[in-house]
Amino acid sequence: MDFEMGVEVEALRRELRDLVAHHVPSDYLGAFTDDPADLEMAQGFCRLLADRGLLCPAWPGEWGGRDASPWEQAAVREEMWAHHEPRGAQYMGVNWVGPTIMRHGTREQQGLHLPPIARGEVIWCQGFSEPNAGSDLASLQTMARRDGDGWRVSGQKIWTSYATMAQWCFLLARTSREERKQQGLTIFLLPMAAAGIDVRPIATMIGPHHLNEVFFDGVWVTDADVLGAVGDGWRVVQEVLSFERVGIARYARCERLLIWAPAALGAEWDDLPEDLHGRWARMVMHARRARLLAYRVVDLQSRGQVRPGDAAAYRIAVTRLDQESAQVLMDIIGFAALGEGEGLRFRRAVEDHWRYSISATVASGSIEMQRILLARALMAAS
Amino acid sequence: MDSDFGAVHDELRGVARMMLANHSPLTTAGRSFKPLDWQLLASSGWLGLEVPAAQGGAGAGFAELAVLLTEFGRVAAAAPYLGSVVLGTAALSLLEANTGRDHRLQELAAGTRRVAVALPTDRPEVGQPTAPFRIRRAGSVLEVSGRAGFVPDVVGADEILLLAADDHRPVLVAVAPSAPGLQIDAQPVVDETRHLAAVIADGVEIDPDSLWSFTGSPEAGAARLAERAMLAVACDSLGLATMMMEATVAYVTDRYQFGRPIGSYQAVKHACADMLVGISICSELVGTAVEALSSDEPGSWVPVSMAKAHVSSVAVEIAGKAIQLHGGVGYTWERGLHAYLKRAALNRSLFGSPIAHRRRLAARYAGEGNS
Ligand SMILES: Cc1cc2nc3c(=O)[nH]c(=O)nc-3n(C[C@H](O)[C@H](O)[C@H](O)COP(=O)(O)OP(=O)(O)OC[C@H]3O[C@@H](n4cnc5c(N)ncnc54)[C@H](O)[C@@H]3O)c2cc1C
Repeated sequence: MDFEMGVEVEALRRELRDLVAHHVPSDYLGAFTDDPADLEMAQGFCRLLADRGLLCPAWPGEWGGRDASPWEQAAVREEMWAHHEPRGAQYMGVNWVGPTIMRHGTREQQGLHLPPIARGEVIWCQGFSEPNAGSDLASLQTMARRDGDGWRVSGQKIWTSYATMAQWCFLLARTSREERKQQGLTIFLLPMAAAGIDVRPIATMIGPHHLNEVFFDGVWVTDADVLGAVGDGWRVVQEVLSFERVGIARYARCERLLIWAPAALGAEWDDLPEDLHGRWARMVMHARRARLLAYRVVDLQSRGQVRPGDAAAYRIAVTRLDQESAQVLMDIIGFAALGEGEGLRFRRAVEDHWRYSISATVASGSIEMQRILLARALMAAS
Repeated sequence: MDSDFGAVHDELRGVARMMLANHSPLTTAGRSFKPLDWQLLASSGWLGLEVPAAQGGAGAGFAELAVLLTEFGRVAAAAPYLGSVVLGTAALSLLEANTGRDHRLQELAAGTRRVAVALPTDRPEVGQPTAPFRIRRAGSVLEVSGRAGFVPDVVGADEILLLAADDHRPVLVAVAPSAPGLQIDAQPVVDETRHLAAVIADGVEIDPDSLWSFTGSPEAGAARLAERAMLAVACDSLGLATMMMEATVAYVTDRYQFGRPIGSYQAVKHACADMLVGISICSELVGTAVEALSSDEPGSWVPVSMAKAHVSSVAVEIAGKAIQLHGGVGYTWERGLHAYLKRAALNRSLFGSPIAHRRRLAARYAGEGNS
C-alpha cells in the first residue's frame, strides 16, 4: 500500500509500526477520552519517540532533531495519525509551534521552547479564535496592554483545543488599535500556569476533553514572551495556519480504516451491496489522491515555498476525504454485526472517525473560507 | 388530500408543535434525552390514533400518524413511539380479531401497555420481509427461535411481538421479555435518542393463544408492517431536516462575521437554498407515499421505498450542513445539533439503507420486481 519513499523511510515506518504495536493499546482512540490512562500513554509515547529520535527527525540537530529529510517527518505524521495519534496533543508542537519559533523566535525563546518540544515533554495550545472572531479572526478583541516593562492580557478565547492539559499557549492578542484590524496584533508565548487564566471545558460531539474556553484576566507577560515584532502577529499567524493546515495526515487514518474494513468484516464483507464495494474503492482512491497532494506540499515546504493557497487546496481535499470516507465506513458498519473482538474495535474506530470528521471542515478555518482563500490566490495569479 | 383532512392535519400539527416545543435538544441544551411523558401522549390521544373507537382510540389513519411522526422528528423526540405505536398498534390491527388482541389495543391506546415488534432490520432485505423467527411444533408444545437485530424500543416493553414463520406462513407471536430462552441484547448506536436491541429466541415456549394469524394474506400483512416502519422513519427524517433548516436560517441571520450576517455571504445562501430545495422534494415524496400507504394502494411499496431512500439520505446532508454553517458552535453538546445528525444517520440505515431500497426499485423498473 505504501508509496515508495526510499529505504530509510520504509525502515522508519516499520520501526514506528512496531512501537505502536508494542506500546499503544489496540483499542486506543486518542488521548482525550474519559480515561486518563490514554493521555498518560500518549505522554509516555512522545518521550519514547523522542528518545529514539523519531518525534521530530527533520528538525535541525541543534534543536533536538537529526536533520532527516522532510519525507521522514511525513512518514511520522502518517503513521501517528493513522493509529489515532498516539502523540496526543503534541503533534501541534512538532507541526507548527516549533517551526514557527525556529523562524521567528529569539535565541532565548528557541533555547527555552524547542528542546522540551523535541524531548516530547510539553503540550501547547493555540489561542486564536474568540466568540466573535472565528472566520473573521483579525477582528479579535483580547487585549494586551502595556504595563511597566511588560503586558497585561485580558479577554476571552474559545475553541482552544487541549487547553486543560497545555503548559503553554500560543496567543494572538491586540496590542494597539490601528487603521486596519490586521495591524496591531501580537503573538505571546504564554505559560498556562500564569495567574489570571481560567480554562473551562466545552462539551462537544467528541466529549468534554478537547475544546475549551480560556479567560484571561490581567495575565502578566513580559517582553521576553513576545514572538516576533510587536504588531507583526498577523503575518506570522498566516504562516502558522499554513503549517497547521498541512500538518495532519488525515488521509492516513482514512486509508488505514478503509483498508481494514474487509478484514474486520470477514465473511460479511462479500455480502455488502455491490455499490457499497464501489464507493469503498472510490474512497481508497480518494485517499491516495489526497496523499499525493500532501506529498506535493511536503516537497514545496522543504523548499520553503508553501503558500496559503497550496495549504488551502490540500486542506479542502483532505477534509472532504475525511467526511466522505467516514460516511462510507458508517454505511459499511451499518450492514455488519461487528459486535465483538476485532469487529467491535473496527466499529468503535469508525464511529470515532465519523464524529471527529464532522468538525474537520470547520477546525483550522472553515472549508468555505479555504475556498475563498484559494479562489483569491487563483485570481491573483491570473 | 381534500381540504377537510387538511384542516384536521393542520390542527393536529399545531397542537403537537406547541406541546413538543420545549422538548427539542435545541432547547434543552442537549443535556439529556429525556423520554416524552408516556401518559401525556396517551391523554393527548396520540397513542391510540389508529386504534378503533370501540377500543378507546381515535380511529384515524396513517396520514394522521404521519403528521405526528414528522413533528416528533422535528424535536428528535425520545419516546418508544416507533416500536409501540407505529409498529405495535399496527401489527395488532392487522390480525384477525380476538379478545386478546382487542384487549391489548385498548391498553396500548390507554398507555398502560407497551409493546415492541421484531421485524427483520439488521440485514435489511427490503421487499418481502422474511420472518426472522420460526415456530417449531413438538406435539402440543409450541416453541419459537430466531434472531432480529436493531429492534426499536424493546427495552421497557411489556411484550414483544415476533414476526415468525409457522410452516412458511408469517404469523405474529407475543412473548414476555422475561420468557425463559429469550435474550435481549441492547445495541448501542450513535443516536442517543433511540434505543435498539437484538432479540434472540432460543426455543422459547409459547402459549397457543399468543400466536396470531394476519387477516387476509399474511405476506401482505408482514409487508405492510415493514412499509410502515420505513415510511415512519422517512417522516422522522423530513421533520428533523426541516428543523435543521429553520435553525440554520435563524442562526445565519443572527451571527455576524466581517461586520455582516453570515447569511449574507453567497456560500451560506446557496447552502440554505439547497436545503430548501431538498426539503421540498422530500416533502412531496413523503406526501405521495403516505397517501399510497393510507389508502392501501397495491404497490404502495414503490413510493414508500422512494421516500425512504431519498429522504433519509438528504436529511443526513442537511443536518451535516446545518452543523457546518454553525461553525464551532454547531459541534457543541449544548447546542444540540449533533443529536439531529446522529438521528438522521441512524434513520438512514434503519429499515433498509438507501442502497437497498434503490436496488429494489431498480429491479422493478427492470421488470424483475413485483409491482
Ligand atoms: C475541532 C475544532 C478545534 C479547534 N481548535 C482551535 C484551537 O485550538 N485554537 C483556536 O484558536 N481555534 C480553534 N478552533 C476554532 C476554529 O478555527 C473556528 O471554529 C473556525 O475558524 C470558524 O469560526 P467560527 O466557529 O466562529 O464560525 P463562523 O466564523 O461564525 O462561521 C460560521 C459559518 O459561516 C461561514 N462563513 C463565515 N464567514 C463567511 C464568509 N465570509 N463567506 C462564506 N462563509 C462564511 C463559515 O464557513 C461557517 O460555515 C477549532 C474548531 C474546531 C471545530
